[in-house]
Formats: sequence, structure tokens, C-alpha cells
Amino acid sequence: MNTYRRVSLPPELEPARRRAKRHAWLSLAFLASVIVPLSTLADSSQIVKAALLEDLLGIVPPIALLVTWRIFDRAPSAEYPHGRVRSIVIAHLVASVALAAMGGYIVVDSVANLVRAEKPTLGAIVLMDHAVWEGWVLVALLSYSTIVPIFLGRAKMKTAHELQDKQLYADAEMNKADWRTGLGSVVGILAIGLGLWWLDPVVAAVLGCSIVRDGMTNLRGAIGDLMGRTPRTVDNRRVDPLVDEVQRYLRGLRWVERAELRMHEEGAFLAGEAHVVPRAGTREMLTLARRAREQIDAMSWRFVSFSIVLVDAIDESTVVPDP
Amino acid sequence: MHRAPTAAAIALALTLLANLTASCDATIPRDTYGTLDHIEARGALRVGVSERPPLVELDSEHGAIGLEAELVRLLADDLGVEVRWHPLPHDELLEALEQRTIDLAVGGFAESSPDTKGVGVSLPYAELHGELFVVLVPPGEHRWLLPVDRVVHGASTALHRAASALETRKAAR
Repeated sequence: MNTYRRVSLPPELEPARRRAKRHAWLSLAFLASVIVPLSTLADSSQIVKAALLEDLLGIVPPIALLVTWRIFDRAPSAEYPHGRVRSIVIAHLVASVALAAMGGYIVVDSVANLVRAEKPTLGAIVLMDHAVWEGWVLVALLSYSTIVPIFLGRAKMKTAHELQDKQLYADAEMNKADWRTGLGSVVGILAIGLGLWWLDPVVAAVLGCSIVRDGMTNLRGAIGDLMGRTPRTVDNRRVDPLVDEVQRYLRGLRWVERAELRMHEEGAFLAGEAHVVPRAGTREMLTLARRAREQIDAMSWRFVSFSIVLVDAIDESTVVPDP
Repeated sequence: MHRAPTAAAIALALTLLANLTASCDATIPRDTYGTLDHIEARGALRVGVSERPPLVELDSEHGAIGLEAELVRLLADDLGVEVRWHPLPHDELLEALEQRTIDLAVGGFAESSPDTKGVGVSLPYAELHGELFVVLVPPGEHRWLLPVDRVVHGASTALHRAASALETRKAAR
């Protein structure tokens, strides 16, 4: 017995989905173009270590998107009666734990460096047979790694709104917020060049804190999703208006005496059930209930599984106030 | 909604950067403790040396001989200063660097060795037996490391050319 629909995006969102995939590939190509040269210079300072780590972790969301989008819309089976939609949330959880942990490591490592008064020393590196000061190369590289994600983030954000995809939204928000840390790292490298060695671990620790904060924000979102929190809008600011819409629809039906609802998110999709007490004497109750369910399904493509449970009374001890 | 402030911030950052880059080209990088200025004012380069034959050996007449000793003399000529040799045991070299009682340390240091942590490391001047050999400077002395790196890079390029010329000659024979 399986009441889960096979999830699928409506055809009009297909271009947005293709765009999101393209952005994911673009992000990966861009990150590779930063990570490869940066990793050869990682020894030079704490700032570079932090920046490299941030970029390394930046790989996770686009890969998660590309992987989960290959599997999330597989049809439910006996083994996976709920389909694979939750793979998206799991990817989100893993990425945010990695982000928070690595950010914490950078903070601790930087503070230790500051206490030991370890001074970074930037010498020359050889570029096309010329010895160039490493600091200039880092400034150029870090500026490039700061400016590109601002535009990528903006593009991703638009797509995330269309697709109601929270993971994509969080990734886009991090890309957009990167310019502050990027600017900080550039200023930090220049400060090292001015002999202010202590700014290196200090800036790196600040970068670490911002990585931790990103991680914690995402972690809260992912845990909430996994615990079946009432659906929230894509920016997580408020309860999704669809919840209220369904509630009002059900309570407005003439044959319904009482309706209590609970809903949760599965990636971009919504699932849940309503316990409904029909008015006494109403005939064709089951047909009416089916029609109501069809109406709700039609409210948004995001409903994957919504059931109406007809009950003769609602157990008052289970009722929670409306969100 | 966020567009205008973000664009303004980016513009501001770029202008700042451009200004910094233009005005500081002469002063960045700077030494944290002014080693290069001190060397020039003193007219002498204080070189800590521990023996590592054949790369560097102590010599009663010349102070030190070997590939690294020649590298040091090239550098001193380049700066127009004299060389003062300070023979020290291997592990005291690093301490001397950290306390800046010497300006440069030679003694067959490999780039991958843990000794190079926490001090300034030059470009490798040669690759021998799979190890990249470097010379060391005090930590935080970015400006001083630049002439060191230039001389080292020049020497390593020359060595490379010599090695490949040797290979061609061998192949021709």
C-alpha cells in the first residue's frame, strides 16, 4: 500500500531545474580554478588555509544538488515507500555538519597560532620564470574567488525561489555573503605584507567564525526539516502560507465539522495529513474527502503526500495551536 | 532590495584595493622587524651556518665553502654587503633565526623538513636525491626574503640549464 505520489517538478519548472544544474557545474568549475592554485600556497598563512577550506567545503552543496537530483524523483518502491526525496535533506545535514566542524577547526588553529606568535613569511613564487611576491598572487587569487560567487549566488537565489529549494537557497546565500570574508582575507594578506603578522590569525579566526555560523544556520534548517517541522518559506523566515491555505480550505468545507492539520517538508516537497471530523448525517463522506484531497493537491505541485483521515472525534490531548 | 548596497560595497572595496595596490607597491611587502634595512645599514649579512657536506662546509680561509656558501656570496654581492659567518649547531640555527641574531641560515635544509616550520623559507635552489633544498630567513621578514628568493631562483635556473646541457652532451656521445 503506497499513498506517496511519484514526485516530479511541473514541466514549467524544467528550465529552472536545468539552470540550477548548470549553475552547479559552473560552481564546481569555478571552485576547481581557485582550489588548485590556492592549495599550492596553503602553507603560507592561516588566512589562505581558511580560504582554501571554505572553498573546499563550497564543493559540497553543488555536488549534493547534482547527486540528489539524479535520485530524488525515483518512484517509491517497496523498499523506499516514501521515495527518495529526503536524500536532499540528508545532503543538507552532512554539508552543514562539515561546515561547522571545519570552521571550528580553523578558529582553534588560528587562536593557537596567535598564542604561539607564529609569523607567516611570504616570499616569492615563480610565475612564468619570474620571481613574484606571493602576496600579490594571493591578493589576485582571493579577489577572483570573491567576486565570481557574488554573481553566481545571485543567479542561484533566483532559481532557488522558483524551485522552492532551501538547500540551493542556503548555498546561494553563502555565495553572496562570501564577499565580506573574501574582502577580509585580501585585506589580511596586505596587512601581512605591511608586517602586521598578528592580523593573519585574527582574520583567519574571523573567517572561521563566519564558516561556523553558516554551518550552524544550515544545521538548524536541516535538523528542523528532518524532525518534520511545519513547512517554512524558502528563506526560513516564516511558516509557509500554504499551511494556512490548506487549513482554511478544510475548515471552510460545509461537511467538515473540525479539521486539525500537520504538515512537514521533504526537500522542496510537502507532505502531511489532516484529521477531519465530518458533520453527522453527511452522506458520500468518502467522495467528499477524496475531492477535498484533490483540491489540496491542486494548490501546489509541492504536495507529494497528503491524506485526509476521517475520525469521529479529535483527541484533544493531541491538538496543538495553529502555527 | 540588496542590490544597491552590495554593488556600492563592491565598488568601494575595488577602489580601496586599487589604491592600496598602486600606492603600496613600493612599501608592500615590508619586513616585520626591518631585517633588510638593518643589513644595508650594517653593510654586512650575518649568516648562520652548520656543516652539511658537500652543500656547505666550514673553511678556515674562506669562512665557508660549498654550493650554499657560493649562493650566500652571490646574494651578498647583489646587495653590496660583506658576509659574516656564524658557525652554529644545526638546531641552534632556528633559534637564532627566531631571535634575529642572524639574517640567514644555511645548512642543507630540505623544504619538507619540519625544521622549516615557523621560519621564512626560500624557493628551492636545487633538487638532490628527491629533496628540494632551501635556505631560511627569520619569520615575518617578507621584504628581506624577496632578494634571497631572486638570487636563489637565478641560481636554480642556471643549475637547471647546466644539468640539461650535460644531458644533451651525454646523449650526443
